[in-house]
Amino acid sequence: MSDQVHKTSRQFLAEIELLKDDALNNFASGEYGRLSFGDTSKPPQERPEIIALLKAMVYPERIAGDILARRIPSIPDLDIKERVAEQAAEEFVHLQIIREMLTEWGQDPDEMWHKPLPELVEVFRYVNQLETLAEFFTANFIGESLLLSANLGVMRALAPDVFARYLDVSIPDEAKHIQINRDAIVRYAITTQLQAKARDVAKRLLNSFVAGYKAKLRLMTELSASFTTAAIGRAR
Amino acid sequence: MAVSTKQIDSFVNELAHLRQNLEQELGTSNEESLIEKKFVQELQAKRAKVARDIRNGKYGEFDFGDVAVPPERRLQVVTMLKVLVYPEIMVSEMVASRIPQLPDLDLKARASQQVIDELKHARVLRETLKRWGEDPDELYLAPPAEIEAVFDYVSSLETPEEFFTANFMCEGLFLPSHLQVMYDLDRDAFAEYIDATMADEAKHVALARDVILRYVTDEETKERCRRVAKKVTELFVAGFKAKIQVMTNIAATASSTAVS
Repeated sequence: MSDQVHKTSRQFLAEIELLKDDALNNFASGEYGRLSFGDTSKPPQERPEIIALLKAMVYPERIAGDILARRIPSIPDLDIKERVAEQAAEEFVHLQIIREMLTEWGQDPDEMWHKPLPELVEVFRYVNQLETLAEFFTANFIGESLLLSANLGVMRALAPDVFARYLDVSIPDEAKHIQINRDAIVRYAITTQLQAKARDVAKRLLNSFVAGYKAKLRLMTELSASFTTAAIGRAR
Repeated sequence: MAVSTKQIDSFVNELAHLRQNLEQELGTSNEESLIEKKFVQELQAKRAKVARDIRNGKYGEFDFGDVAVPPERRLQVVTMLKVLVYPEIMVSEMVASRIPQLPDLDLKARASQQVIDELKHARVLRETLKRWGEDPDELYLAPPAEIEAVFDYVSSLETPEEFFTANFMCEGLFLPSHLQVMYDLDRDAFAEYIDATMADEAKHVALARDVILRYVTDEETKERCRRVAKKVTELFVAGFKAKIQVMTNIAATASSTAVS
């Protein structure tokens, strides 16, 4: 019932920030598992966990650019339109960096573009079909915020040199993107009804993001295990 | 800083040479691309003919009033800026909505840059109009029907090949029929807008050309694109005439108001 109380859009944003912070606490406590990047004595191109993570990230970077571009015509405010256009362009830059790293390491950069993790496909399918801008930007806010802290921040903390080329560009960009989403939520989540819909989206997206995160961990573990098995086979 | 026709030509030639050199270095300058280049040249020739007609005054001529009067006090200048807001915003939206249709990442990235550029152009127009105390959205919200028709048509095109063929024609016509005329007749009045757009437009034409070179590879697609080029050129000319008419009407109204 308290959810139905009218809030200003700033108050609504504060509520969504709290939801996101709670989720981030759960990530930090390891409730959903932890990213790890294998044997640090080996070069990155020989660490399956790193390859798996980068390959898994190709799909989100590429599809995010497309989804943002598709949404631009429905944004009425030119300043937000322009910032979203910049965001779309930046997602393609991130994508290009990841693809270059994978290509240089002798990997197929598009393997998981063509066969993405189903949990990630579901996140973006859901975001793409959201009806209102309040819902769309709330979903983006949750997704980008969790990506920055639960993925990029951890990559920076655990393997700064390995991911430097990607993170040096993506971390500042993601911080900007989160701010666009905040500004758009304040601008568009202006009625109790819109806020109610966006609140549901935020909750659902938190769950979807966690599912996608777990799927990435599962992939990294599986690839690591198959590398180990192959190495043992070669040793015999 | 505004530029002259010669400077534009040399810039476009320079880009063409850079492209040729790059293709040779990459080994992509093969027989097949020569065939596609012939198709682009065919479209360029059609576009050049219409551009010449426009420049020769066949469809009317822009008149920006007495250049001794400050631009913000000339209705023709104000109207020209107002009438350009709608196309800039519409192009940005239409190119954005085509990005998911482009399979190649380099073209996606360039198209997303075009979206940013077009929105920047709209911002420059709107800021100038606001500074002059004008409503920047007057003709964005109620554009001339003929200009709306161009965008309705382009928006209805099914494939990225057709869409970028339309862009190739319109962006290529916009430069000589609008930007160059604005520069020639009253460079100071339009300096801010021309400075913001001139170099970008060459990039946008190059993007459209590269999409055509890459995707318009069979005769059936070429035929569809030829039809698009013809139709969109007709609509562009109708839009051009409508702009002239709007400006003439406004100038006449202003003059009769002044007399009365």
